[in-house]
Amino acid sequence: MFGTSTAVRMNAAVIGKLDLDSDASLVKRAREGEYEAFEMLFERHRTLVYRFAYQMVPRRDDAEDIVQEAFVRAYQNLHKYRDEAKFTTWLLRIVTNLCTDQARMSQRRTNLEQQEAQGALEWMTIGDTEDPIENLEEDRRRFALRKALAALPVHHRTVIVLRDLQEKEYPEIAQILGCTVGGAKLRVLRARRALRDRIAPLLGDTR
Amino acid sequence: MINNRLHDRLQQLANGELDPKQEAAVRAEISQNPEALSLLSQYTELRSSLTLLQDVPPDQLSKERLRSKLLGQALRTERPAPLWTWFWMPTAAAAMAFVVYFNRTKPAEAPNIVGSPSLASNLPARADQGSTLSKAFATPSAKPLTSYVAKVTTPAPISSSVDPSNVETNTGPIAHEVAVLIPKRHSGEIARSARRHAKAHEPTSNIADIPADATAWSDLNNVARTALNTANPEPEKVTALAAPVTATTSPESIVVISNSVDADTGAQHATEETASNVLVGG
Repeated sequence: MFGTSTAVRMNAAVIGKLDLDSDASLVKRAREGEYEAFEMLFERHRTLVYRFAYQMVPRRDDAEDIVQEAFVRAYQNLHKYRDEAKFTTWLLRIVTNLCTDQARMSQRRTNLEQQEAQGALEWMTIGDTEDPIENLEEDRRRFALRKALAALPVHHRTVIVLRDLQEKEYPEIAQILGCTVGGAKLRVLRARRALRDRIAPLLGDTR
Repeated sequence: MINNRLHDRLQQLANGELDPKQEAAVRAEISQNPEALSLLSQYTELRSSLTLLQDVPPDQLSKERLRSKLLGQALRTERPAPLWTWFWMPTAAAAMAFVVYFNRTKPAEAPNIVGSPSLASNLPARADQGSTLSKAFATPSAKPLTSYVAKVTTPAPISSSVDPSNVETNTGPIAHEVAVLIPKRHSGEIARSARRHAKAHEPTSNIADIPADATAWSDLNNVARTALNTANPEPEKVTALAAPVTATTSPESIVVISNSVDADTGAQHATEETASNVLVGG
């Protein structure tokens, strides 16, 4: 009897501890002014957010700035967060908006990136492709692909990153984008087609 | 040929988003289609290539950076707007008032008379009597018009003395048009917008010269009444109308206002004539 109650109490303590560390609990504590709780959220999710941001913007320092700004906004708008969605979904929504804003703000830079991407593709396909160093091929491929992805319109880029790089499920993508699941699927299909059209030479398109 | 549906299916197949049944169906469908097989291989390659982008370099984020950023935002004080920012508002208001004042329509100093009151009574009744059309005629209390213009079909020699009896016998349809001299100096003073409005809506004109000769009204009324009652389709040359004063050619443009009414605007037709075609008498 004693052992059973102790086990129950231990389980309750473990569950309480787990519950105490859940995102919802941390958000609640952060709302109540406990900044350490928010720092725990930051430590927990910063890699996820950074990966997404890095795949959305071409430069690492830009990605870091976006992550930082995203957490600042999250902190300032914690009172607006509803528990209907996961905290990471809400956070990624903020990052998506920030990336979209950044893409709009730096239209000129995007054009330059597109030119660079075009140049990279030409270099890959038209120039001398015989590279004596075998392992450089992967780097070049990655570079060209990254440039092509950066040259995509931001709405295409977002769904490619969410689905094919972050490997999010469609319902979560729909929540992040604020659309239906069917709409999210359609966006992914269109974005993939746009990316494939852009890098068809890289994929050995003979048509 | 690959339609959109098959294209999407190939994408989903390459990305593993089809269930086994659908996958088998698509594979069976494209087995004899080299173009579709090529597209499938492209999407498969794209899928594998995208995995290369999943490697992300380590970030240099830190809690300290975040804390300082948050503190920086919290400590940022919003400066009040400088006083000069609202200075443009009264300036803009003054500028607008200036523009409105100097571009306003010049108020009519006298009724816009193009015909006598009795001529107005001979015209067919209109629904908008009292608004536009009535302004084209003088009130009985207005000064009589003694200097008037009649349009002639050909340039006529200027005669210094005209027999008033010729007026009734020689009036044709052209004499329907009672014209008023508009000196350029007057038309220039009218704001452009006002002139545009007047051209579209009402036969606004100014009287250049109104002597106090009351007998001229009867002459003019005779001309106009005869013209209105005459059904003679053939234009006849009107050499001159009764001219109380010595006739002269006008060196300036003349607006001839017709009795015919525009169907759209309800305004009377007005045409501008050069001085060579018009005999000015009065």
